[in-house]
Amino acid sequence: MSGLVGRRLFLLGLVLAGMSVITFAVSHLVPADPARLVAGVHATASQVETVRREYGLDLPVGAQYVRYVRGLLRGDLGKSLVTRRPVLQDLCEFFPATLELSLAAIALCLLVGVPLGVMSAVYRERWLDHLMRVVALAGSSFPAFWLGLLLQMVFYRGLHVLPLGGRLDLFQSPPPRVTGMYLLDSLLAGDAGLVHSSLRHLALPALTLGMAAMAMITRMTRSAMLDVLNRDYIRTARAKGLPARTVIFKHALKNALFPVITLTGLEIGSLLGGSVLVESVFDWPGVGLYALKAVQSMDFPAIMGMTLLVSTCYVFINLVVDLSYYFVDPRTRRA
Amino acid sequence: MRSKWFVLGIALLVVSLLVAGCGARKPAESGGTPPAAQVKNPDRLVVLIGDDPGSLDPAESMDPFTTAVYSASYETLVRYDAEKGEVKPLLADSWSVSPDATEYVFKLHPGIKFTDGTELTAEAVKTSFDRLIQMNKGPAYMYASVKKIEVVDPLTVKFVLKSPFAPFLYVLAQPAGGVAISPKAIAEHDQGDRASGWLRDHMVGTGPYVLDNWVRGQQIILKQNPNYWRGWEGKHVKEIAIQVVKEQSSQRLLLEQGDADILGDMAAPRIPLSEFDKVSQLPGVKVTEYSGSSELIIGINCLRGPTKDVRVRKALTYALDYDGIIKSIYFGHARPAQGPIPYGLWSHDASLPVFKQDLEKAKQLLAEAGYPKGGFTLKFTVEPNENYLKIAQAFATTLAGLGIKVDIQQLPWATELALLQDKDRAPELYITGWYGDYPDPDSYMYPLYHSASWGANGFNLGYYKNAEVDRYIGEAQGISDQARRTELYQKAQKILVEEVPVLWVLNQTAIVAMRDWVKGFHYNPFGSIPYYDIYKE
Repeated sequence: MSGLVGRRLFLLGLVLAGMSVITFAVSHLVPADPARLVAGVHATASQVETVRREYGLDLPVGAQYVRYVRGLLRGDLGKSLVTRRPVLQDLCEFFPATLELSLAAIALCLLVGVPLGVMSAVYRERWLDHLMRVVALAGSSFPAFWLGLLLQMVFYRGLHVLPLGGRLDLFQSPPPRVTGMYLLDSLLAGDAGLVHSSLRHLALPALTLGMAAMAMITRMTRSAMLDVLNRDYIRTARAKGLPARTVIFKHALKNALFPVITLTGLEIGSLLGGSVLVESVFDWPGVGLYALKAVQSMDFPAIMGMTLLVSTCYVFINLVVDLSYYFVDPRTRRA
Repeated sequence: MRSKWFVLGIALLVVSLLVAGCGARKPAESGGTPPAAQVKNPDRLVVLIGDDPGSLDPAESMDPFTTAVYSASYETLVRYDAEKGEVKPLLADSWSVSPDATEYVFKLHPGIKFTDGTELTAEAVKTSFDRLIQMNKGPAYMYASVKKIEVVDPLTVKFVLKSPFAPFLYVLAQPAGGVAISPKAIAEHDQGDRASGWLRDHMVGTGPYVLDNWVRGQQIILKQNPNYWRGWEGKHVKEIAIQVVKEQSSQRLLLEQGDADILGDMAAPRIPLSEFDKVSQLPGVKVTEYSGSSELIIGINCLRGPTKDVRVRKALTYALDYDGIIKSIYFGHARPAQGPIPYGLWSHDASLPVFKQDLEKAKQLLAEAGYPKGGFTLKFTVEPNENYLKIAQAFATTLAGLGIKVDIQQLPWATELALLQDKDRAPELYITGWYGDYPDPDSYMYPLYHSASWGANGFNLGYYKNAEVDRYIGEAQGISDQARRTELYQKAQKILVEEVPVLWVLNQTAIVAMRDWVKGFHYNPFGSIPYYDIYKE
């Protein structure tokens, strides 16, 4: 196992090095002057020059790259042109919000998607199965922003039960920062009011974000379960007279989970990278919105920082998925 | 089997349509909208802005999102009364300007303290302005004329300018940059950056509200400054939440439900113009249109090609369908422009022509210029803005009818600017919005029409030059007498409308949407939200 982890970490190094070259090259090929954008519409030439010097944009491209890589090795991702703060500080502030949203979405997916998939497989070709399949199809075909707006209309405007957006109620201070994920931090702080508020704010965005993944997981679980349920050992288990619950959840589900684990890993990755729309609809201040703003304002240090963060996440999630095979499937351990 | 699927599909469709239909009901029917008379949270004001402020340091940022926040905590020496078009006292009780507009002396109101207890003195004002000028960022460009700042006595401060600059008083009357920051806070938090790092998320001013809490990307909470020098007699709100809400639809919903009081982006209305009527009909919501500070122009290259000829430029002026643009692209929420200075600002000349489309006249002018059938191509650059592109396309269609081919190029703003600043490669036409930074005609005239503002030195990107116009604009900068200045600007404007260095397309109106329980609000196109004067009732 240590070999696997070592190989993956080495790979991570390669990926990050490659990404840093590509993002740096792309951002410096764009024919635009970020210093001019930062300095503002009415800035004088001397002001633009001040900005250029401050951000090292007056150096030759090669020197800028060396400076950037040196910074990277020290854990310095540069300074954002928009927020004027270190990019790392910005990412530390906004990433937990996206992580919290993605984890909530994936938790929702697994808690709802897997049981639905199992039920669908067990009641194959019965009305429950058909209903689940229609729901799954609908779930994966609703565009996230539309679903988000619809949920806001129903739960905020119509029923007045959930907030429109944001992470906490107005005038409410966030919990003392430990992880930056409000739900977890408010639990750690033991503040029931904040737990309640963070849950209420998390509900709609997590549902919106997780809907498509939930549908995928339901369908994947169903087909994997169907495959397993037709195997001989299941027939044997049933013939032995084991209760249906044991057969389904202990014997069948465990073996049907491999593709679901792979899919979950991939989904977490895409949820982290693809939460922009949901963050935008629900004003969820995560890295998605940060990245969007960075792209719109050609904030190259922020764009490069974001790209490296997302690549790191992908590599780590894949590592976690591989490691989870290791625990679930004894054959990988032998190999 | 197939019919079963069909039925299920139909059922699902019906359910989702029903759900969507529920959501689209009028607010009055949904039963949730509070009646107009019942004020939600009377002591708290909720202002929505579309983006997080970058930095709260007034010496660094001047975008409308930032000034919307820091103008609650920081104050200027003087303020601009938009209704009367006059400068009024604020931190300074009185002032005097030398006749040649090079010396400005301000007498400060005694007994004012910063929120950290430091007293506001002439020395403190000098420290703030010296810092702003030395940092040379954002708003500093407006203070480039300052030679030195002198402390005359503890409550008297004098600004000495390098050369006469009459707009300076108006520069001081707008909220960006020129505010008083506690010198103690600057000294204590200076890490070789003049405390800029610290002042990015802290505010120590003399203003009515103090920063309580800023959750980036979400909300900024401000509370009353208990020792505010103007006192808390009368009606005021106790707390202000400036909430960051990016989506227009969400802003509208929050306003409709009474969870927000004001849509705070005065410069760029957060209501899509196409929905203006719908929003203004919402119960409990008040939508007002004011003469704004922004105008839309199509710049013309006066240096090269067929547009060098004033007759061709005039032909273009008569080819543009002003009314059509205002009606179909701005849904009526703009006014056809009348010369270079927008409505409502002093020196606006009501005797100038308001151009209208007249294709016959355009044809005639083209023929006079030697292009009876057109026969030339104009390059038209457009920044990524949907309305600008629509205008460019409509204009191109009209010009095609006159035999002029228009080659539209959409470019990112920074790229377009780089192209425009290169005198030899600049396109014949470009479209841009312009808003003055300070309530003085100079903010519209000097950067756009003076020949010293060519290319990277300003925004005269059509490279227009007229010695007489230069002289009037320059002279108006050098005298403090406002009546005489008005005269000079009006003379310059008369020449400009004859020579049409740009097409003045329209003046956008500022749209302010708020709950009708918000009282005390007054609009200032060159200011920010008047937090201290606002209350809810």
